[in-house]
Amino acid sequence: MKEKSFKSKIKKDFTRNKWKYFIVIPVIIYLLIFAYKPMYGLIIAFKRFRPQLGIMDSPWVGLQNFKSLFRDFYFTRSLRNTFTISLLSILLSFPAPVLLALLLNEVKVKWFKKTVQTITYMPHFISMVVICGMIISFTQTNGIITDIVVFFGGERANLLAQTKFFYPIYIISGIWQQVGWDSIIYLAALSGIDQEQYEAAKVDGAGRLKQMIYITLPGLIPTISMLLVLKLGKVLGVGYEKILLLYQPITYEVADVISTYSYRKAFVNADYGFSTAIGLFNSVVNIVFLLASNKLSKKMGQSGLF
Amino acid sequence: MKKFKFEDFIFDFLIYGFLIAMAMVTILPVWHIIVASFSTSTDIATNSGLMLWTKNIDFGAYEMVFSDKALIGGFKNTLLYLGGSLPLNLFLTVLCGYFLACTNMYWKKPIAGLIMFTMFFNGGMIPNYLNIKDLGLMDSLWSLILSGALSVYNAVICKTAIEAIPESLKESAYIDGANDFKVIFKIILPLIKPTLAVLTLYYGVSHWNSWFNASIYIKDADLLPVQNVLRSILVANSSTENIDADVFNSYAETIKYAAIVVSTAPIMCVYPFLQKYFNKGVMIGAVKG
Amino acid sequence: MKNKNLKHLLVLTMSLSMVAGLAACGNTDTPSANVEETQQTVVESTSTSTQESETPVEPEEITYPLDTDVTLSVWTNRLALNSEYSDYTESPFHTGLAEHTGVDLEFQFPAKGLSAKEAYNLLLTEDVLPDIIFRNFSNGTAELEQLYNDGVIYDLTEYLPVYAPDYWAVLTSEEYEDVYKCLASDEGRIYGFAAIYEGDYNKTYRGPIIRQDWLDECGLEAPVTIEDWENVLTTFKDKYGAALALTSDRLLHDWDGLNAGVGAYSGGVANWYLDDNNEIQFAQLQPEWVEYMKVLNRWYKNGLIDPDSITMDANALRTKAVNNQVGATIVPMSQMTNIVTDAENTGNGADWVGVSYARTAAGEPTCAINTSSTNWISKTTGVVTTSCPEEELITALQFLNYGYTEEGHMYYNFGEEGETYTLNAAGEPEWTDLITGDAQGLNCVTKYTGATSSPIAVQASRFVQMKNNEAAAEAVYTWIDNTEVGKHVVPELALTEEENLTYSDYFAAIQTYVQETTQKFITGELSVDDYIDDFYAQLENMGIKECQAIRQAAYERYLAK
Repeated sequence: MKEKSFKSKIKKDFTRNKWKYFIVIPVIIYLLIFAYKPMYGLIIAFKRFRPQLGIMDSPWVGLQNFKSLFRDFYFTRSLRNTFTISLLSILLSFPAPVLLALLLNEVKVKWFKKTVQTITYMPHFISMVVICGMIISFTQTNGIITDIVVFFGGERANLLAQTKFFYPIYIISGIWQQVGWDSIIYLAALSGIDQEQYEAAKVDGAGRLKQMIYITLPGLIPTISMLLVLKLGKVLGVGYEKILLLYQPITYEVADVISTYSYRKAFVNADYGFSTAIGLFNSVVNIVFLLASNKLSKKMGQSGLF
Repeated sequence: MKKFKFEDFIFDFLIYGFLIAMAMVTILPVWHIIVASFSTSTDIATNSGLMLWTKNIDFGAYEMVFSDKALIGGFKNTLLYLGGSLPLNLFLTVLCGYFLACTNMYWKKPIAGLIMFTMFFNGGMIPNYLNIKDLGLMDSLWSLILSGALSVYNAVICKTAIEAIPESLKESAYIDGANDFKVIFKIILPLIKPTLAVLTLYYGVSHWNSWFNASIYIKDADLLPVQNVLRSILVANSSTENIDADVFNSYAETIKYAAIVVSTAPIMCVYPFLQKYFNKGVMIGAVKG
Repeated sequence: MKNKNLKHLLVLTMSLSMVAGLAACGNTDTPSANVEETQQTVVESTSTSTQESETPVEPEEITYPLDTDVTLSVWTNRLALNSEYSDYTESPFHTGLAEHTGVDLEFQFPAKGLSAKEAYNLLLTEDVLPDIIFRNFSNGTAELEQLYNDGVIYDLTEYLPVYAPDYWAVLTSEEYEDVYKCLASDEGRIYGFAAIYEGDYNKTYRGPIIRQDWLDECGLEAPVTIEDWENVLTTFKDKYGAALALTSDRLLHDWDGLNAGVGAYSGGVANWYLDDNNEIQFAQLQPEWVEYMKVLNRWYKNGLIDPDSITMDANALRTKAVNNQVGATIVPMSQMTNIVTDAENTGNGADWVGVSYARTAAGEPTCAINTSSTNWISKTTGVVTTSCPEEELITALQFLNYGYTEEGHMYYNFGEEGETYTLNAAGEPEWTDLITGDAQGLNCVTKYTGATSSPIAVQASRFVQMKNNEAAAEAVYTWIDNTEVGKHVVPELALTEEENLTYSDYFAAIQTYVQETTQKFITGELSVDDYIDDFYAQLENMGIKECQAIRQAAYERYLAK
């Protein structure tokens, strides 16, 4: 009986939805080839991969790659740097768009608001290569940012070549590039705040600053906490693109993150197994963090991502 | 008449002041680049601080940029790459978004799970590279087009837009005997046009700006997209083995700025027109960042 | 002649396949078969290698251009295109090489934006490789050995005397014994065609240069000792606001040239050297090196070293030199040529001359080792990959042999007679107006010749002199005067595959660590006094002792060769 109902259920589902299943076929094929097939390649993390032998025929080495990974001085360093950069960006880059949205929300002159928005969105559309090209040029010994540093009593030198300037450059340029764009989501959330609250506050004689602190900011809390939790979930996900373009051997000490180390291990040292082991470790930690933060998000009464 | 409040006046003053300062900080470096691109290297070398204007307007750097074969070739390749990518991007994204928006399907959950899982886990750099190599896509623009053909995040944005369409509209179409394709083309696509425009922009920007994949998938210098050419101009990872530089080039510095302007201008001209659609589906879009 | 070739090939391939007992197992299997085969014959061939009369087959006589319709693909990070060309088909040298050898050539170069090493590693993951790879194999024979064991390249030992007789003659000549010794694996296998320096003159291509006009103005002598240098640099700084400026690769890799002033055997690059007892030592572990770090740190602190040196590239250095911001620097000849030419063109009055490596005292020989250790140019070697079908192997060998013939030597070094060069009364080549009148200056030689970084040939000393202007050609004589060139240099050593695995694993980390620490010592981020013990401890941790033992063992095998 049960068997039959299952079969008929399937059949019914198929007759009703066959086109929908048909529609998703290209997507599935695409993902199988370009997302799932590479996952099979992860087994080279357990091999000594020789390109000539291919994935299958390269010799197994068991956990050796992972063992040398945890022994490796440079891996530990890149792990530390990754955490540092992530935490710095949570502390500094994360609040910036909230602040911008709060300020923009107070602007009642439409054209002014729109102009500021257009301008601050702009850097988001500049490519990473160009951004980094600008950074390199501005932080040269005679660059304009160096001029500013010198004005405040710094030494005239190439800033990117000094470990102490790497994080400030990385973080500030990140804020510069993304603050406008990232504020969009908060502005969207702000439009959902009940206007009556403001009216009530005005009646109570609350000034604009007070309104901002007691009404607008609380209105943003759900969005902020959701994004924060998501951000925490990506704490090991510092991308390689910007760092690859900005770092140099003298700043590896602070700038080398997991992904760039993995890149160099693979393409400079041709140690593919080791590099893949790094990547796999990174992915697994990421997914653990993500699941944890998603759970946290749900606990806090937010919707979570999945 | 509203009562004038001194406190509010100060508040406004600070806010407007801060925002103006912020807009300045954003725009001045860009302005500096533009001015520098119209100068000569000597002007740049002797200048200190921001360049707000230049005495000698000079188009030499632009002449060099537009006669630079590698850069022109790069533009051509990027356009080909965009032309090949965008239709495929939209096709897959709409299909995927439509499926994710469907309800009442027996296999919906596992299939959607299969799709969503790829957002959180992937093979990583080396396995992806080996995959592209095994597929024989190395050294062709297809490696770039196919490896970035679908962003599941964007599909989720598309899904939200589709879900926002009143169910009754779709229902009535089904009742009229339309199949899923007709529903997509006749009802859904016209209604989510703004979202599609934004998605096109997202895809377009990410393709236009990407360089990493090309740097490992493409060896033939004639096939490199513009960002990779720019990278070799702007971020000289100087391979020190070749120290044979050309004759002393008086535009060596300015050509960098001109290249920046030329390569960035197209997107700068497009995005303001799409701005009003940005907050559509931005909730999910921001999750991506 | 073609028939004869085929017959030889047939004999060879038959013997190979018979021993291995394989018929058609595909590419990857063949070389491993080779291993067994050659290991058996090696015993004989090494013992008889000096007695050439016993070679079973007579050398082929080769006439160029070859009569063949074979197309060879060549991947190289050398033989670079002149910046005027975007494709090798536009380049006179590259197309001319195809004409002269009679072989259709398809050149592939590393893609823009990737370092040559990255590009090469990516290349190796391909299923089908180009027929010929010509590059600097930085780990020397160990790397070649690895490639051979992986089935990527052919073992050419048996073929060379027959199909590349001119190369074989050069390689086995007494003059280039050092190259042979380094190139041959422990078992005596030869895997490729070495790019070779003609002699000591070529080996010393980099050294310190200084503004003679400023020295004169200040009434100073050319500096000899570290104290002299400090004095001169201080004067330059006070009087002209100019410093010692270096490109970042120099800063990162080695400061050789001045380190000798305190008797240190390296600067920032992890370096092995031979001590007086013929034992291999690590430069960074010696007290002299610590001393050197202190000197550099003092100079850096006092502004005698341009702080941009940490990131400067060759072009930036040039710009600084033109703008009178540089008083002294350490450059290769070609860069000196550029700097001198810039000075002439802009009329800034700079008179650059070469100045000797620093010495511990005037008249002492300098232990500076900023020269190539052997005549093998940066371990640059042309190898034939197993992607090259066996029937094309002979053509590949004959093509590679071309540069070692009389005609090929002239072509690689000087281009076409009558077009790019003529012979003067002394029988020496001189550039024609085509070269001297070129808008690029002497840099234009890369359009017509292939010897600039390394040719698949012997790089002529005459070429080096002609490629650079007189000041630079003259500087080399200053640099090599009263030096102990090569005395402390460790030759290229052949490591076994096992040794190489351990060694490269350990040493890669050590190299990075030394570079990073050196920079910090120089900039003062780390105090030499406080940190040096930690530095030693960390090196020990990273396996410096093991590396040293491996090197020493390999060196003893080398001596026994």
